[in-house]
Amino acid sequence: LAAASFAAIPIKKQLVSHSAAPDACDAFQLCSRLDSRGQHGALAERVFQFLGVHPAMLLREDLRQGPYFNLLRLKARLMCGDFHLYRTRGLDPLRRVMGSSAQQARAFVREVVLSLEASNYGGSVVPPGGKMRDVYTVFVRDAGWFLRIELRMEGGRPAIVVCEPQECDVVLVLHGWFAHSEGA
Amino acid sequence: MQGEEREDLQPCGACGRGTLRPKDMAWVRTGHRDDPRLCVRRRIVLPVCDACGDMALDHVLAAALDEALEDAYRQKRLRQQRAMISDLHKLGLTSTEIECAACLPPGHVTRLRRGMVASPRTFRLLHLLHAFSPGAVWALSRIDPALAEVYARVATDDEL
Repeated sequence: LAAASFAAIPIKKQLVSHSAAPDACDAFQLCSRLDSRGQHGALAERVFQFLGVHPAMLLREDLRQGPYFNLLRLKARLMCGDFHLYRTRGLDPLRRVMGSSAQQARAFVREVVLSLEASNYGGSVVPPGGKMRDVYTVFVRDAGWFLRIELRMEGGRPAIVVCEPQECDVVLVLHGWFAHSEGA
Repeated sequence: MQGEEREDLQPCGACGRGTLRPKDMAWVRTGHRDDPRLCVRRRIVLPVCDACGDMALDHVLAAALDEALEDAYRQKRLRQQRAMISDLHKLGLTSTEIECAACLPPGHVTRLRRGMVASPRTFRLLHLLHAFSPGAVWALSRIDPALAEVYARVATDDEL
């Protein structure tokens, strides 16, 4: 993984240049305004890459405090290698970044999830039509990137639905969102 | 029988709407290593969501997927590299000259023809040499004078 690289996206600079949007919450507002004017697209995509959640999606998502799933129980099952890794947002992003096989990516995810602590928890999320997931972020490299991890238990087995490299700490973003929601 | 199948089916944790159903992934294009469009040619059944197309892989399925992809990757690469080397030979380049142009160790081209899979870097060099010969040989002759004679031999009169 040390050799992996992830292209940094200077989204904050873009947002600031578009208007005064110093933090993530302002970015959501800006994007929702752009969406209402039909100007969504490139900027919203950049925000998506930066935050890991599409702004419009995040506004609709039901965010809750948690964690909803017991991390210790989850890790215990994970120790045995008994878990599911979803392909589209779990396996494929890692394979692209690391250039690894599915088994290597699974081994990496296992190590990362076993290293999770309560402080890595960002929030619990219910995507529209989806099921509850706990969101965690792990910092992977000094220079670089965070891993956004969304996991849940399915039939008594851990399932890693999302494991994507991110530019920012999802924990901070989601906490910012909570503060924003409470203030509003 | 139907009851057993129903028990095996899991709801999709990614979209929450669909169900993970066994699906044959033969002939579906997917990315593997440095090949973004690899097609698995043999039967491999994976649980695929009927709504979003995502799939949940445990260690057995991941190993099976790896094996199928690796097999397909090896077959495709061997076929391509053999064809490229054969074309370069037809153009007039010997194995030694290809090794000289692509900075490969002696005997490497022979090993590639006999079944060794080229590294992504070597494959790309071969691909460039194949796509732009003899122009590529001329460009390389500017940094390696030994290739100037090769270019003079393989280039047509118009190109000279």
